[in-house]
Amino acid sequence: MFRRLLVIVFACSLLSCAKAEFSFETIAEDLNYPWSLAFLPDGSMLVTERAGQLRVIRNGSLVAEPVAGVPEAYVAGQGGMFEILPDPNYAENKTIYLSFAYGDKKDNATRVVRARFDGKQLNDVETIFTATPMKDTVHHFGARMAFLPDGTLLITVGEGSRYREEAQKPENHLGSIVRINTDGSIPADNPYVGDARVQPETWSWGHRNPQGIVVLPGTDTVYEHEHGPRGGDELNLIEPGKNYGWPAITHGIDYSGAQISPYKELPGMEQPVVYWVPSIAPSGMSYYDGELFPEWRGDLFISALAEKSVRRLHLEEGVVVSQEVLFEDLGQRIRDVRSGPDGALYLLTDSSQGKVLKVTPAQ
Amino acid sequence: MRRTFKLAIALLVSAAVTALLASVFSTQFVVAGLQAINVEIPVSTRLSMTAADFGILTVLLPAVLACFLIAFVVAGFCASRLGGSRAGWFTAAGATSLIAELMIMQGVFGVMPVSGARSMAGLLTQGIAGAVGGYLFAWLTHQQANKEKHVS
Repeated sequence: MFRRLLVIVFACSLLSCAKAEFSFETIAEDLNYPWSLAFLPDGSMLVTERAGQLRVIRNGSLVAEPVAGVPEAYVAGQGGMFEILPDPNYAENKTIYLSFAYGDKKDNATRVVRARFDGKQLNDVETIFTATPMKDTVHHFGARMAFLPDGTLLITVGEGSRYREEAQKPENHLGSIVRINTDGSIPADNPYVGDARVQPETWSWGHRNPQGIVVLPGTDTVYEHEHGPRGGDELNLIEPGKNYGWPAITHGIDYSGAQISPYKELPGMEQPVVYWVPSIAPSGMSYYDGELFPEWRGDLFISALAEKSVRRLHLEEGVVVSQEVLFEDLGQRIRDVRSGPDGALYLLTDSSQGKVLKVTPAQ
Repeated sequence: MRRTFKLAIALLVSAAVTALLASVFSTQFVVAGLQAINVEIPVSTRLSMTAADFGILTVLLPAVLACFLIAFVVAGFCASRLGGSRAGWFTAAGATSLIAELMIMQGVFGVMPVSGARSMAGLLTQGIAGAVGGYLFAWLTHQQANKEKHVS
């Protein structure tokens, strides 16, 4: 009896040790579906609310007034304000990039603007990209962004859900990753420049709803993840000009249980690095190169809505050798995960009363 | 009691036939969508896809039963009160109820629950499946209806 009690006490102490591994600090709360977080050189943060606002976190607290001058987003279904991304030279040019759903119920699309941020409002707002064609669905906008080392901008565009076959037609932007210059012009070395059959912005295609994209620092290595239907979420290594197969190939099935395609692979279509069945609903991604968690350096972090977690993917020479499921105890749909300049991990919870959580090692 | 039992069986059979046809039709439209993007689908693959998709009947059959239950009550009322072809009323009820249900579900969930019905042609084909179910129900129950007519 005493031995049994000792085992129970020991097991409980182990559990409490595991739970005390991380410390969670609420940096901001009561955000209306926070979607993206960005860090500015002065230590402040910008966070988008899918409900249509851009907010500032300054000196550790949320500024009450939303940023002014923000373009109007089409807020419906999955649509709204999406990604905020500072220019690589933000310290000099104060330029930010904002993606959002533009339009209305009958005609809407993923749009990106650039603007100068003076600390309180956006000025000189300029549209640099709008996906074509417009669609009449409120799903699958994609809308994550990342810079390549050469200063060009990658933007993910979803296929609009009902128009899934369009992802296999690079003559439109649906289901593509596009690459543009920061003024909206087309880089001369885009893979399909000069091919009249393909949109010149197209960098890769055959995607469903890509909501994570990361360029490994100092490299041209691009990882992207996208939602599958019922199962079949994917992490892909993106190379220019390649077809990632949706919906011709997929590891998932339709929500009804019917098949979307009988094929999981076909010649000329890329296979994912990792896929998840059942779906975890990957929603954001970050590369960790901080100091607070040295064992995490070089790993990818993927926030998950359905799984209510963050997945840590350990990479060795570009291969995912292990996965760890983190932060399930929070019980929250996680919309985004970011590696902060202070080495902490930052999470956005997907809720009408969403939070920005700072994760540090427990003391 | 016996009459109710016979009606219930007729409802179940007609709903099952409609659900089966709806599944088959949906698969053909999905296959057509893949072929339109240059994916080769041999006949054997088409057949195996069609068979595999019967798995959705666990969801589709209850949905068809629910809409037929409402639609056929209305059709029966119209046939007895307004006259005209009984089979016509039930065929129309089967077709319109299935189309309406799919459109309502699309409005509520934001996505078409049956992928093969994303296009207008696909949706109308689902209506044909509903029409077949409605006609079948009318045929299965016409003797009972005639008896009731003679008695009254």
